[in-house]
Amino acid sequence: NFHFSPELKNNKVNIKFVDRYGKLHEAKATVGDTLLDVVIDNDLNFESYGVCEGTISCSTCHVILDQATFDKLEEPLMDEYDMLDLACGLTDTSRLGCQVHVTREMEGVTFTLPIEITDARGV
Amino acid sequence: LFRFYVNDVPNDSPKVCVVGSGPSGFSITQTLLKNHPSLLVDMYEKLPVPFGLVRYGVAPDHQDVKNCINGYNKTAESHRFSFYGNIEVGKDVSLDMLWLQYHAVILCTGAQKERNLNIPGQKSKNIFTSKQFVGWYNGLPEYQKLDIDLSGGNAVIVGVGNVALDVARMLLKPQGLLKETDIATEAHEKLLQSNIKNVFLIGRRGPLQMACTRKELSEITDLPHISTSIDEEHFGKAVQDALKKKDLKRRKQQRLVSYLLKMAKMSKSNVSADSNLSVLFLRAPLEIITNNKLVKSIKFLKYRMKDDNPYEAKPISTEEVEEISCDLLVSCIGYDNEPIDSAKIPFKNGKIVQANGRILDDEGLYACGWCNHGAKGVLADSSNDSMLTGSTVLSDLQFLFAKKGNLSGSRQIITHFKNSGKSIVKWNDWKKIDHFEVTSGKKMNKIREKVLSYDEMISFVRS
Ligand SMILES: Cc1cc2nc3c(=O)[nH]c(=O)nc-3n(C[C@H](O)[C@H](O)[C@H](O)COP(=O)(O)OP(=O)(O)OC[C@H]3O[C@@H](n4cnc5c(N)ncnc54)[C@H](O)[C@@H]3O)c2cc1C
Ligand code: FES
Repeated sequence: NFHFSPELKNNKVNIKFVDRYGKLHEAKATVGDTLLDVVIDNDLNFESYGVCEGTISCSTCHVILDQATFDKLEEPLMDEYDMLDLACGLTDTSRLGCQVHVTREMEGVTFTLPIEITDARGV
Repeated sequence: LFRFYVNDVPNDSPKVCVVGSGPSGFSITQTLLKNHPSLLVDMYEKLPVPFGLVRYGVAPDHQDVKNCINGYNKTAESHRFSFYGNIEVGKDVSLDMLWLQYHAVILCTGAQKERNLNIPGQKSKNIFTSKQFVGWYNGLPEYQKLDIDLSGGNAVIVGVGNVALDVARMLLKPQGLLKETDIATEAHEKLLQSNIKNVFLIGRRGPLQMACTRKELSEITDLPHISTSIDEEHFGKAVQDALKKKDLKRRKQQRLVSYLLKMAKMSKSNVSADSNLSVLFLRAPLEIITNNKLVKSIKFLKYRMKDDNPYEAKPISTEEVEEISCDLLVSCIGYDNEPIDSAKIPFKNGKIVQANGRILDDEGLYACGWCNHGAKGVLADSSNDSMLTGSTVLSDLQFLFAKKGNLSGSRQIITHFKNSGKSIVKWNDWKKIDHFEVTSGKKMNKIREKVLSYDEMISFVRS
């Protein structure tokens, strides 16, 4: 199996994550996977990221998108909105990493983990 | 923010003590181990079993939330981590002792003190706090013998936060839906026989101050055969105007209140329902009326809201009193902080005095999670808080190590307990309990059947 089909190659895009301390990480992402899958498969090991394992029950997989990437995606479903309500440091382009699927157009795109720490506390 | 020690690893390792094994204890352990190459973490937990409110607070039908345990288990496997269960700091071992043996001591003890209603009649029968009621269905040993009577029709829950909604849901959920969870079996059987048909949630303030999410509310209102009653009068023009303004910081409240309003409008229509959930706002508990020492009804003083800024609620008394018939009363009005050693820990206005998690810099004392900020927020908040306190600890460690020198960590403390005959539950012992619980659960088609007595838990230490 030393043969790389162009299709297989096309299935991967390069994306980046900025972690909570501002450090940049590069990742190979398979089209169709969620951003949470990408974080796990690339051993990015962000602390306390994705603690409910993608079941939309924790909001720790919160990522901030750039406006253009955000606009290209479909609206979040109700469940995701519900969980985003509890996310710390919510922005207008916030999404749950476990609900965003990688697309081909995401080549080169950077996703940022929120740094705002105490925002969601105290209703 | 961080200082790393990759290049100057000290001769011997810094020793860190984490007190409490809930989400904040485990998240901060994870942060520390990940960002420091050599420090060792010892975790002390007063109960024989780990995970704090994930085990004894989070509802049995919120199993997905408990997936965080998988991550905590990974952290616990680190060879730089040790667990010492069944040791209460402040009682079995003093803070003085800990900071003699550790470079840093991090309190992750949660908010342990439950608020009381403080009204006449509160000692009557069939009145419980959320800690008792939640502990009962979640298998917390001290509450297994509670005499909860579910034979009446009306339950009143004081409070409209997420804990109140958990309690309401457990009372209203068609009970077949709980069978396969880790709910305590006896509690479940009692719930199966329950006659409770009407659940009233009572809030002191208005809808915009309700401390739960749309999701938590919809988990009840979406149940089959449940009708809801919400008074439309609470949604005056000021509230409706507030809903129209786009405000990201308040999106959570806006989505909740829009949902409440929608339910209020549908309220009267559903007459075929088996059970009903009523949400009543602007009422403060006044007095409990009893019959033969058993709760019979509860009186509330009604308030109205000053109608200018609904976010800054200033309820004004109307002097109108309302009586609601009540066979079971559960107060879910929050938890307070209580320092484990009030002589040593600065405490003001019900809070530990700290900055970025640091309480006493010269002793290396820190706080994180609910014991730091009070009982507010969900797991994500505890995770965030542990990153903040974690970075404070990491930036202090070099100083603390220089000051305190090489320390022995748990060695002396454990020897002391061995000599006094106190059983310590190590991580491997917990694994045995865990295995036993999961296996017993399997036989009953449940996720887990919890061990319901501390003695039985401790018996695994020797086997
Ligand atoms: C009823 C209820 C339901 C909830 N449901 C959800 C939910 O669905 N989703 C969600 O995200 N969040 C939920 N939460 C919130 C979540 O449980 C908290 O955010 C989280 O548990 C706080 O973590 P903590 O580590 O600060 O405190 P805790 O979880 O309370 O942990 C504190 C630990 O310290 C131990 N301890 C205390 N004193 C000592 C001592 N002196 N010595 C040694 N050990 C000590 C305690 O035994 C405990 O194990 C719920 C909370 C409650 C009360
Ligand atoms: S991983 Fe928990 S909500 Fe996405």
